Amino acid sequence: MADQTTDMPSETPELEEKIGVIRKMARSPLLVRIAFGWLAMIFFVALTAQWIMPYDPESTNLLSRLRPPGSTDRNGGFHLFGTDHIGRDLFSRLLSAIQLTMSVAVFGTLFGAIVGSTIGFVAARYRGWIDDVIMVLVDFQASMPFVIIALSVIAVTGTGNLLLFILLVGFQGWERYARITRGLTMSAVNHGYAAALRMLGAGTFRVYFRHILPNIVAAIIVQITINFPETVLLETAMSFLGVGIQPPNTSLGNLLSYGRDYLLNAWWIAAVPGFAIFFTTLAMSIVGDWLRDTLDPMTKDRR
Amino acid sequence: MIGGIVIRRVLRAMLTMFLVVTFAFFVLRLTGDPVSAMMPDDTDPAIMEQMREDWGLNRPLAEQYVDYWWRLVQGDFGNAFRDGRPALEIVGERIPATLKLTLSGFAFIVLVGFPLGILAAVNRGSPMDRAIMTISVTGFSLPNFFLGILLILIFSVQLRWLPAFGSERWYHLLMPVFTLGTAGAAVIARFVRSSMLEVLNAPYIRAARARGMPERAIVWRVALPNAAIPSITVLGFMVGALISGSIVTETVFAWPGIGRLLIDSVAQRELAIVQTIVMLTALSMVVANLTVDLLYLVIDPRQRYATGTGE
Repeated sequence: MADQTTDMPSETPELEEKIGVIRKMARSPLLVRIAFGWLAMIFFVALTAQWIMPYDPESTNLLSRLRPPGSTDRNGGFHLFGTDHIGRDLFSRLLSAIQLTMSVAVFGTLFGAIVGSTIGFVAARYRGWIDDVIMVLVDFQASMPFVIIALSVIAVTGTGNLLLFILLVGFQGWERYARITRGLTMSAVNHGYAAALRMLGAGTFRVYFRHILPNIVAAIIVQITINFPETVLLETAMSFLGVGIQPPNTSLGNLLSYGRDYLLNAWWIAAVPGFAIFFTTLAMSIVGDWLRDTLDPMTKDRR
Repeated sequence: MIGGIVIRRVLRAMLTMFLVVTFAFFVLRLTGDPVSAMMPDDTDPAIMEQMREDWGLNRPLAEQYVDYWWRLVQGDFGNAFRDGRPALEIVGERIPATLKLTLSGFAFIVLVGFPLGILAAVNRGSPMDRAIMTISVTGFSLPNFFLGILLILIFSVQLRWLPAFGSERWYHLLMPVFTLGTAGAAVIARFVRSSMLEVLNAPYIRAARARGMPERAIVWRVALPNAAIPSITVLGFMVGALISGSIVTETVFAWPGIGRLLIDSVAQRELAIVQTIVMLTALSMVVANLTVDLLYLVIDPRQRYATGTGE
């Protein structure tokens, strides 16, 4: 992302800029470092959940139902976050839900970024009516709440298709990647080096992947940092509403929705996954804001 | 000049509606067989064939598409599967509850977001500014479905001040409106703050100060009207956010509106109801965007002479 700073009117060489970013990261405010730490922990959990969870998240025990956090069941088993309505260990369920939620977000976001930028590139490469059609679709998407579109697709296909759901959730924001890639590709083409390469006999995809993509990847990555938390929120919201991830798979949204039925006597079933989602999206906003502020001196004045 | 811009905007709105109808048609026809999607798996094949015949699903796609349009123009959005009533009628019954919720949410966003943003900008860098910005980031990151549940846990379960469900009395609105409006108010507060800061640095503000205009008058009479203009665009975006937000809010608080109807209908595959709600949503979005565009023309004279598509 440091490449972005080279667009600024600055006399500092690129290398020094990069070192500057690392230095700024080391000097970042405490809050930003806590947020980084939280995200690192979430990603660690997402990678290792099956090895660090203390219990099988699906194993039920009707004798130790609705135990509060920090309690011990009849067999001497300790439950950090308590148990749910059929005696499953909430901590283990939380870890496995984090794993699923983060996997959906990572694969979904990557899918959306790839598809969206490809569409944008196609628009910039072929122009003409293809460009017109794509831009009309981009405008259309920007004027409809994505969740409405996702819900109408789910209404037809039904719930329970995990792969389709990941792709659907990831598709959110494709129009922003398309718009960014289209604009940047066009300006790259105007620089002339793409035309020069074409004359040398390079094919469309060689020009794109080897020469244009490296020049616009920074902007796409910035867009990914904005899209990622939105993907997490869309997935958890749809799972919470019962039209996303289906049992036996469990995402943070599902966990929260189970908790809704036990608010009166077991607050922790809803509170634990709820705070997990909240802290994660909060950490992403803090880190994202800080990154954009640090990388782009233009916005510093306004925040 | 103005007429040309208005016509272009109206045409664009119509194009969007055309795309929505086309989208609904293709999603419903091409992603699967609506009959087998709606009927239980063990339905008699003869009955399914009869339904396909009745709905004209055996005819060529182009013919179906024209027919689809013809029905919509006549106000026929199909019938609900469970009781055979027109989908438009079922959705229509839910409109007042959703309007009550979303309009209150919109008022909340404006009445909370603008003052907070102005307060933060005027006291830039002070503890007040930092507090407001912290609240804003928190409010923005708090997922609305969890905010609703937190409110129920605090105010209904612990303090027992407010009922968790119900929609008849005014106090039933409090928690849903707060749930629906918090994220939007946070976004508006941030936006108003940065746009106020930009305006407060403008030369004409310095000129006003130099002429000895009182600071209060500068903020309210000169800076605010100029800073508010770009906020209209963001308020336009809020319509979409309110529609998505009401789906979650209505589900959390068992609010008898369109959002909850949509979720129930998606789960039960009531395609006629889903498509009716999709088109209604699109219509409100298009009207909102058109209003924002036209408001701009009225408020900001510069827009009238701008070339291009006016993005």
